[in-house]
Amino acid sequence: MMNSDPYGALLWIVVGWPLLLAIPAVRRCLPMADYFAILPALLLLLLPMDFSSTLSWLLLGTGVSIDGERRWILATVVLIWALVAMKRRATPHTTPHGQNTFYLLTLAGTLGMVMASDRVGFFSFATLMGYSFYGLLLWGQSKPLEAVRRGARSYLICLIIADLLLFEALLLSAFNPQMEVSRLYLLMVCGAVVLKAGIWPAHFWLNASYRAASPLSALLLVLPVVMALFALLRWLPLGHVDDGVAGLLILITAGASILYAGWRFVQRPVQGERLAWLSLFASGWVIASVGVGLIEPLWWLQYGTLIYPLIAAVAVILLMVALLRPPPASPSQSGDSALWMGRMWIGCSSLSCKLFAGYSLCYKAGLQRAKQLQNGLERRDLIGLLSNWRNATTLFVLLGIALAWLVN
Amino acid sequence: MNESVWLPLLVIASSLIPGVIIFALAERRVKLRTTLNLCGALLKMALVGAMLWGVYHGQHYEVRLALLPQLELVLRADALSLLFVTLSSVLWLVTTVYAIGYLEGSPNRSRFFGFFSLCVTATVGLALAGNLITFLIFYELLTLATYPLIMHRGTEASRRAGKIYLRYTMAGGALLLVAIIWLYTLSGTLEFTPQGFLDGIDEQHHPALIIIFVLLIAGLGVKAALVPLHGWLPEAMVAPAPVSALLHAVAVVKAGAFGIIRVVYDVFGVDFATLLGVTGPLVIVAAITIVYGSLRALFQDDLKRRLAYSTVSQVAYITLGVAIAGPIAAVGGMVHLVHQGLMKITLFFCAGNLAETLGIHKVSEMNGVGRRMPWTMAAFTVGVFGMIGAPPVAGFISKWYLGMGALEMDQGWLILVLAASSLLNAAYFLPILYAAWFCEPSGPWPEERNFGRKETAWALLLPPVVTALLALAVGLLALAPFTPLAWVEFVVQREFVP
Repeated sequence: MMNSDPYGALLWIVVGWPLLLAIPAVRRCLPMADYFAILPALLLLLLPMDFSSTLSWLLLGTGVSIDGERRWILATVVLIWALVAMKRRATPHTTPHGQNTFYLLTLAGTLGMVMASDRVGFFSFATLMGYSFYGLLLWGQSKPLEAVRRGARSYLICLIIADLLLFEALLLSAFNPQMEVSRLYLLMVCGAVVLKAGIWPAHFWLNASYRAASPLSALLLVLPVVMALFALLRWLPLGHVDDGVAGLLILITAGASILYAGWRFVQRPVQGERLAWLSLFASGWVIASVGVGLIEPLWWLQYGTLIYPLIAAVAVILLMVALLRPPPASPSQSGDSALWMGRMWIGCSSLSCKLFAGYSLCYKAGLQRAKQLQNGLERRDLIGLLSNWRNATTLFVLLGIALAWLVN
Repeated sequence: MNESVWLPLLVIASSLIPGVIIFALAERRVKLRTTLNLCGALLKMALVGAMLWGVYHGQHYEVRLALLPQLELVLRADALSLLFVTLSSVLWLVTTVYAIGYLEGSPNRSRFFGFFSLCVTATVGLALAGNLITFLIFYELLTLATYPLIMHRGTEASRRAGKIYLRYTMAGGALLLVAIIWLYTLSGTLEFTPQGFLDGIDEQHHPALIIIFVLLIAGLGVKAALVPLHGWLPEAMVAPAPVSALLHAVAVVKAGAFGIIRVVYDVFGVDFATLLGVTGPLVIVAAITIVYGSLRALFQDDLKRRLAYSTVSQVAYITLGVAIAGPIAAVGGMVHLVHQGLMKITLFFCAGNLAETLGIHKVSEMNGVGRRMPWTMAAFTVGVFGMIGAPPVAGFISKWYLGMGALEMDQGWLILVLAASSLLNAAYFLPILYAAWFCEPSGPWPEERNFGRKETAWALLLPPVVTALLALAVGLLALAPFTPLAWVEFVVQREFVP
């Protein structure tokens, strides 16, 4: 891998350029900043060799690099952003003033994640991307729809918890590299990815976001899913760890995601949700292959590199479906679809409901209870809930500390 | 007298002399007062810069003045003291600029800036203290200099807050005095020494030393706002914003935390403190303070009170880093002294801007304020992410080293405390950002002042933007030479490498 200065500089420019353009005063000097922002990344894609650059003084010694595998993801990211930029240009009146900053910060975070050569750098860019994306979901909607808010809020909660899990995993692996093959580490990373990619059972944010998404947001929502799946590959020492139990757990989660997504897909989903179920279905397969890789490391060493094109393919499919998605329907129209695929699924749905009527009833009752709980939590936000139980919460946490200390 | 003697004295005099002159100035001498303030602050920074350079290259700065028979007033610049002195000097300059803008047109400015300078003098004095008695003198002077600042507005609420503050800190000072006298009778010296001076004391005195440790920590814990001695801090929020900044970031709570570092490292020594078994309970107190402060912050609608409880939680990180008693955690704790200062002063400046420009005092009044005051809220956002511990802001570096230090010393459970703290920080800070950036204003601002096309006066806007950029820079460039992290590693080497 080359480490020569001009190429190294290009790597940093790919990340730094959108960051610079995120400053409104700079952006004003450059028309079509959203196209220009991805230009260095495009140039990088055209250069065929692998190279890297590390700045020992940056953060905790962060570096960036590019190799053949990550070019797949970089190409996917460039494609997503190019489509988003075109869509925004096509509908300029829908681009609210100020949204550009979040847009470019998200882009910088995404490119940084792709190119970060160390985990601290990756984590930093992931944080930048995550919070900017949250801003992107909300900003500019002068009166955000309750559904948009709900989706964004759920995403934020998942993001915070996922970042905490990744931070703890990062600490463990940095303190003792042997910990990278420990089950705790594997499960923490997988937990974070499940939350960030909206995998079952943490799919609710993706579902809610897609339901309220504009055509532009529907394209953008592919991004966190792809990047979370990519995180899994960057953080897990796949091919070098053999953990049947963790692998099985991941396989079960992936299997449940695939089945659940398939099941919901056939149940007359409202228009926006269809894309969410498709996303869940596709990412479930990627997660499943990672689970298999944990059980069979040799298999991963042999076929693991195929996962990058697989993720790229998932992204392209989701993008295509998002592009072909009809404009959002009014609430009264939601759930109705004139598409042939929808009709086919509705037919399958009624057939399967008849076949599994008993199961369906039990499942629906469970789902109803879960929804009631979720609604209850949403009506009274976390702080409201905590403030009603402040003494109990305080005592509980203090008890937790005392117990942890005693156990230690 | 050579340079090594007069430089510490000059550093003290650079704020003391302008302070004394300012007291004598008439209210209308605005320009002279401003010039004195800024010149003093700049001179102090230059002198501190010279001392930093000298200490880094092995120069020894010390001055001894006879106080009582066998007791000397000792000012000594070592790497640890300069960490605190540099922080105070830099933030004093920024706070002075802010205070000039904040208090424009208000009465009693000479009194305010006089005590303000005295306060910094006391802070620098206690940072440079070479023994416990010198530390105590400046510690008490700090209490006396801060008291009029808290009561500056002269309202009923501020007088009440001042009384509470005085009660708490005087009680803390008394505990400190008792502990110091007792310690002197046992050891015969009070001189700060790397790795402590008590490990040679007979084993039969160990129970007494444990009690002395408790008294010292209780005395210092008042200013460091350790639970349950934190009660004065939220009450003191009635003070003007520059005073809040001074209390939370520059002087008072930092003086307490710095004192705890001195006691653990340079009085008892880490190894001896661990041998006595006093560091374990201190870890527990710090952990409880971290979580309790954050929990209380969740329920505050008053912005400054929320920030005050956040300080209670965040300053305990310093104590935690020290009490874990390992080199990596020590780096995390000590560097947080600087990082927390930069982040918290940013937040207080922003809170002051909101109050001064729009009359906003409560979180519930902040809807849409990000669009009205984008620069202020951008600085606030940086501070918030730093507090949560999100990279690349300074708070991430502190949490990273604290977490690694906890693992190093086999105290993995503290990772959960740090995680809980981050989660709670997010829970009480992010709703503020949501309201500010993503909500529409609920109505007219409570008391809007017109600054033309600018969002507020430049003297109010510049300081938070500068400190936010500093908080970002010290995190982003953490491993560069001459950053707080590099300096703290230099300090810790002295403590842990015999």
